[in-house]
Amino acid sequence: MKSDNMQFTTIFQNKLQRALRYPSLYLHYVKLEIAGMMEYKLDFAVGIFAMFLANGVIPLILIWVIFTQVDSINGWTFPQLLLLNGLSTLVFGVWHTFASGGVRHIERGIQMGELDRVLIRPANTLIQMIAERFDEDGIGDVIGGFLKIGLASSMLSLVWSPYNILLILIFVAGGFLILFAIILAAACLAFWTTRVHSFLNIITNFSRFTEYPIEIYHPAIIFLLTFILPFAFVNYYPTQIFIGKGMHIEWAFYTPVVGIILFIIAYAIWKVGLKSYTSTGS
Amino acid sequence: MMKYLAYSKILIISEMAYKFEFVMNILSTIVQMFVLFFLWSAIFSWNNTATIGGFTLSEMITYAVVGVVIARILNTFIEWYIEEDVKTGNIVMMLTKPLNYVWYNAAISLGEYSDAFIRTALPSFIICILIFHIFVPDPLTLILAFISVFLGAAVLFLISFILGTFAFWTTGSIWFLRSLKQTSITLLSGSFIPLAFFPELLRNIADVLPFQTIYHVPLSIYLGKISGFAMLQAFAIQIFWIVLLAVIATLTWKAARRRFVALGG
Repeated sequence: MKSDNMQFTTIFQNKLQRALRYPSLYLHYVKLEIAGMMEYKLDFAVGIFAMFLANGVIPLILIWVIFTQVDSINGWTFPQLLLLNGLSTLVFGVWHTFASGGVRHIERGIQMGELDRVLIRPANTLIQMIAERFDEDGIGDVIGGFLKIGLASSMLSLVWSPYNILLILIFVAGGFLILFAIILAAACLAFWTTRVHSFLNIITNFSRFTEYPIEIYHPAIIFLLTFILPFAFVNYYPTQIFIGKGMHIEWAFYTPVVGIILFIIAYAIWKVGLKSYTSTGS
Repeated sequence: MMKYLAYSKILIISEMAYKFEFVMNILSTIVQMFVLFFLWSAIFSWNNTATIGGFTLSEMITYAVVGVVIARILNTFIEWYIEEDVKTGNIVMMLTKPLNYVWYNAAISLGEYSDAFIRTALPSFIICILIFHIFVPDPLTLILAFISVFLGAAVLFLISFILGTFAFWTTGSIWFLRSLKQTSITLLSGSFIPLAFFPELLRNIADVLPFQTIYHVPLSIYLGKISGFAMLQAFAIQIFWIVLLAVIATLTWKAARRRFVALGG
């Protein structure tokens, strides 16, 4: 009995030790990636700037133009909508930076037999996949998100107290897991069929609904965005906490829970996919 | 002429192979339309107003949805193709062929446009008439709007070609130039919001740039917002930009070729 316990403890310790090296492993990959990028310093800055313009500045101007014509959309004022939109940009930026490239590469990785290289290494396959494709362009999205959130909160006199900062960190982490899980699960389709690229695009396209308050949509779409492809937990429910209005404010706190549960499911699908993976043989 | 069209045909046929993509592209387009449909419906109903910036709700939905249809047609990757030709050295092959490289790329673009028109834009357009009951003008106006889209497509091709020739000086920057182009189009073409909504300063900037000829002009013709003399004027502006950009494209291409020869030794 006692030795069983001992054994369990050592196994657990081993597992923990293995898990703990992943942050540093990931950082190591990122360092390599950035070192490579630094060869082309201009590209590095230019990519970030392009994303900042495309997803930060331009949507900001366009939303503002709409509000030069009307005072509110379904009771949402300009800064409130900007906060909603900015939170979405921020979470997508984090996703874009850290995981999107790797997950989108799964299809090609399978087709070209590149997965083999990752599989034979003694480290988690998924972490290797995403670490190899760290994408600094996403930093532009993150800055764009901060711009919108910053502008919105100054207009709303929203104070970033430690509590609020903690909240938004939890929401960003939860939202990141939701995006990661949904798109990973969709990308895993590539284990059983080819060309999932456009399928991924349409799934990602559904997230565009969350650029505006979801209560403007048909109830069926609200249902879809809450229970089936729960993108609404990425920004809609969390935003309500900060502006104190909307439907089901308390659902904001489900964001991290939804994220963790979805991620466990998606990870299980990924594992099943890997099991059924047979190399293309090249 | 026929030899160039052969390139258009090859591009269309090779894209036809992907049937799953075909369905997904249309679905994606419809999703995007739904977002805009609900957005404008909400804006109008909440503010309880008949018109915004001179647009009724039905006009606004038509504007937004047909804008998405045009966006589906007008998607060219010509800058990347040129960059690839330069990077891989394929450009040497192109130069030895009895072809004009500008016309060759125009044919490729035409292939892209036609493919997108047949496979995505036209089906989406028919579906959106059925779902959103958008306004459809009389046949003559429809044809005029279509011609205007075609002219806008030429403007877009020429801008893209000019950006593409920069690959002869610096590879790697094309991605940035392309995204700068996309950004300018999103903001200044009236593809998402009618230019009539814009504050004066932004409107004036949009008016003197070529981007508005890509979306604003054809959409305004489609909706009957401009007709008669104003329509002729709008066509004249489109043709003015095509001529001007064609001259610039020819000049940059000549400079690029000269530089290439210099490099090739």
